[in-house]
Amino acid sequence: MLCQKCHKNLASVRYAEVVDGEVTEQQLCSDCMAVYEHDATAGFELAAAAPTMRRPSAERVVRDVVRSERKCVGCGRLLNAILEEGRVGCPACYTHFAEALSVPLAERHRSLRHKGKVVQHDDTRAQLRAGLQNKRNLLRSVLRAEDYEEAARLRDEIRNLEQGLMLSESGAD
Amino acid sequence: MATAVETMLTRSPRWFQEETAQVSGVLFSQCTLSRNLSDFPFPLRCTEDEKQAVVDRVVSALDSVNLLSSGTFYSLADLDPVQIRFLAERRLLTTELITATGPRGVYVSDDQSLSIVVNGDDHLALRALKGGAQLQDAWARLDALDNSLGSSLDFAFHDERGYLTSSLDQVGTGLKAGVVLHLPATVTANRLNEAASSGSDERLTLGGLIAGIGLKAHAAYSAEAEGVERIREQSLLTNTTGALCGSPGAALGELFYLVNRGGLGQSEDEIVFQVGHIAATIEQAEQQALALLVSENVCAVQDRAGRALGMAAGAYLLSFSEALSLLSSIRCGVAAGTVAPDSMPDLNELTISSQGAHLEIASEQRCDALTLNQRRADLFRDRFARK
Repeated sequence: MLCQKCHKNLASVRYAEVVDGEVTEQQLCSDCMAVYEHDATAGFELAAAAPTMRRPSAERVVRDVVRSERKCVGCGRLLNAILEEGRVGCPACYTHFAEALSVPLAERHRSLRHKGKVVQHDDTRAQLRAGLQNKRNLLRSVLRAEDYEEAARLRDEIRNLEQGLMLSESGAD
Repeated sequence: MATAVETMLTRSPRWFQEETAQVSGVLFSQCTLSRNLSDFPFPLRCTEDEKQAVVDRVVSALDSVNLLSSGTFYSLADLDPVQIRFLAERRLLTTELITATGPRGVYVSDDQSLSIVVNGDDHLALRALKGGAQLQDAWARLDALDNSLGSSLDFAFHDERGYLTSSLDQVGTGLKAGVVLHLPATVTANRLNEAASSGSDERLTLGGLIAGIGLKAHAAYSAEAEGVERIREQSLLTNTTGALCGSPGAALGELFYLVNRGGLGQSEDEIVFQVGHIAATIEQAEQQALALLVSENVCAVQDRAGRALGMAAGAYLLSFSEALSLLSSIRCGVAAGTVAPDSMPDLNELTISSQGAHLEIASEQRCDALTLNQRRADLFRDRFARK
């Protein structure tokens, strides 16, 4: 695979940045990686002392950072906490961390594929629920930003949607 | 609401009366299914509002599938600690529910053979209980309950990973199928390792039943106002896996729990079949060991059961572990044919009713450990002096 920055050399390093829980990844060649490393340490005096120490490879540093900092987009649970405790935060964790969870799952189960009974989803209700989940995620962000007026409005909206959903469920039977 | 729990004391659960006529090495069978709603985080990451919304939605679903006409939903906030432990001692709620926080509760069917824990580790933990070796029947009942609720609730499901659960151990089928076995002859013949290893190839675990709320839950529970000393060593409680277990060597009353590990890569029917099959193999080995014990030294078996009957009828102080030990010896005597089997109904019922919260509710007062030992001895003298 070619480097995603210069588009000339072969990529040899996976570089990831974590900002506010969001991970962006790029495949880079060693030259472009060196530029990123220089940018990241520019302005820090401690960087001057670094050459006297044996440093881990750039790829390992990046991977360690990615592993410790990765958060689920649905519930904000850290991947590290999931791996340490064996407990997941929300259904979205299974999709968001699909690759990272395959190892602990393989240790615990006969295989990675479900062979049991299958759930039958009602499409209309599934859409309503997906909408509700989006509103709840938004409410979390709004609360983090301490916008309590918007949070109160969203909470009312969520309550109304939930009541509507419960009515539709009662009606379905 | 509180009164409803106390009236359960006089109503024996249907499941432990089912095998009364038969002396079986399997005391009872139990299946638990973990389920979560698709549009909420798991309880670990839920806010109080979200937990309340989960409770409201589940209660609404219970109503819509007519389950509230044949059972009751108890909010944990409406129950005192003794009532909560009483329901836990009847295997109707889990230690995860006890140690959780925020809005949560449990639905209990009128015959006390079905329960639905809401907002423990997962949004729902559905449980079916049957007396004796009836794991297939317990699963059939639970499957029907799951289908019924699934028509009204959208469960979190992934095409490849199956039913999504908060624990990586449960994902897939979400099923824990287990049986409680009584294995006195296997223990005496020192064949416990053989029994424990017989299910390891099938990813089954054999653990010894232990009293208390478990080390993990202990720290969380001790923070509550309820004194820890009063609940320690007084109850056989359950978790989502189905029973609180230690190593086989730590088993109380020679009681063991066999349960499946993992839920991916096997269907529910396969899991239920394998647990039932291995349980039958272990039970058969127990019967052979017992037959050997009887043929080699029937006097020792008679002596053990006879001494236990004497202590049960005459003791004035009985700890819970001692009571379980006496019941084990008497049950062993019944299985060996040295004790009349008509005492069996008492043994099943006594295993449940000699637990701490049962004694406290029966005596209508809070008791310390010493008083509980007195109440337990009173109960045993009453039951066995009449035999």
